[in-house]
Amino acid sequence: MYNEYTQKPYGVRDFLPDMAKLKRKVENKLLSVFEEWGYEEIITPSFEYLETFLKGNSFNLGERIFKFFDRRGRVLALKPDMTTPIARVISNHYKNVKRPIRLCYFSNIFRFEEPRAGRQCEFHQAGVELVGIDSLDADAEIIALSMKSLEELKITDLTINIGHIGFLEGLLSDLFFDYDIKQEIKGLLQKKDFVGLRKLIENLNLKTEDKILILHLTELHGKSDVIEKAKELTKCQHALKAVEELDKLVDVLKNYNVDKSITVDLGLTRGLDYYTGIVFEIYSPFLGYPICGGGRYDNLIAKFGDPRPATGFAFNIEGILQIIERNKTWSNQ
Amino acid sequence: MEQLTIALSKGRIMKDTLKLLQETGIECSDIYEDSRKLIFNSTKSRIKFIIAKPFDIPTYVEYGVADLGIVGKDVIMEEKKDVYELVDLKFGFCRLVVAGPKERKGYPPHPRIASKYPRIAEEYFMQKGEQVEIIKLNGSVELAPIIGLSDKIVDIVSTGKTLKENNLKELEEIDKITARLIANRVSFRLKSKRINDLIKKINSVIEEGF
Repeated sequence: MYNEYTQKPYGVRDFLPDMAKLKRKVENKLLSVFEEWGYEEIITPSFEYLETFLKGNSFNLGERIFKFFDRRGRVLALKPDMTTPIARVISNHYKNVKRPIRLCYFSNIFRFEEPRAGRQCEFHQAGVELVGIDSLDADAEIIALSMKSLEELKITDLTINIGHIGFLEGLLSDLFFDYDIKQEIKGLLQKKDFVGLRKLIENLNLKTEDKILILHLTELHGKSDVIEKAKELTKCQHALKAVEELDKLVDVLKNYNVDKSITVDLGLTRGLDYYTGIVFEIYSPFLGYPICGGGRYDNLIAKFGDPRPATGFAFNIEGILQIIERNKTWSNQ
Repeated sequence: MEQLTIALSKGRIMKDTLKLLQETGIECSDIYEDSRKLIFNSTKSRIKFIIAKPFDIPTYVEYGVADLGIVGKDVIMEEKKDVYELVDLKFGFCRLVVAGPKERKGYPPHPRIASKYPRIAEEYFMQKGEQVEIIKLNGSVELAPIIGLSDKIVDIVSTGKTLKENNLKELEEIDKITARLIANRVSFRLKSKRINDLIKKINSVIEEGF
């Protein structure tokens, strides 16, 4: 009676009425908040050229992209992220628009994933992108908007973890010329593989103080006093500039009343390689992985021919639904 | 003080794990391995312990049902979960090796490799540029070459006694293994104070040698 073709394939799921209803409700709520803040919804195609996506992500997303051919043999791909298509849209359709552009989206995303926590091959994101402002006000607006949105969904007890890609980049560029070693250290820090990091550093030809500095990176997270600690640790100009930006950002966020949930993490990196400045993740005690992630990506749009500063975030919709389900706070309204 | 949940591995490293915890000042004397109980509460230390099979520990930690886990590096390498590896606990030492029949001289161009660690085995031979066929087994891996199921095996050895008894010899070493402390990525941030305090205590116990 049953065989594999009467079942769904691996990595996708059905949303039955209860879940579909809740998802629609969550997305409607998010859209109304995004619109209130001046963000307009856009929709991009489900598939584009593989090369378009590869422009954005220099790391190994490549083998996790679902690919197929068009009739002329060119490789197409189901979208593995929303930020890259929006970067393309900006340079296609907003060439002569010099004012800041605020866009938001609701989309399914496709990545091949091994079975693991909170990951499916098809999942849903809701997010915003703010293009054309390179000041910290934009970073603050994005972070504040993400928190206000979750507040509207009655999701509480959140922690925002903020970092800055420039800190680590600056430090490593001062210490090493070798690209591979830089990538390896970044990778270990991202995985928080402290054991591997210690082993690698011990075998490198470095001054003792620099070794101590890199190993300290793993401890540079906590409340905003981390910023002061970081200032004392390094003389690297790029790194110090990053720390100062973080310091100012935390200050600006006080105006939005979200500063109490902030932690600072100078070892924070994100999975996608296009980030250049402030990055952040939001955690809930009810979920084993981040509910939201984002940050600044000033070089991505330039890859499509039109340099513009930009920042944004994406919510993990399945994560939000799970938190609401677990707490039953919002669903029965 | 917020509650901390730690997943502990049954089997090989359990005894040393409990000894380490005790030295760190965590009350855990009522945990014993043979018990059918799988959850223990240390009310004094505000810690809940989950006792599980080693290969499940990274899963518990990745999903966040346990904040921390203590497990061998072999399991971490095989499971490839999204967890943070915080401390090398320096006990539970063993080695991950390739072994084959003692007397055997040559191997076919596509040798068959039996292992509890199919991913590690596959990656290892791929990096060496050797084409192999991996056979996944769940235990008694040493048996495979004797009964003609495989040409070689990939397994952990500590004393080498089991290999010897089954007429096998070590051919190559893949890696050295010890127990590690792993953490869930969200717990690591949300409970950073408790976790950092624990890491400090553990590090000082390890340095003194327990």
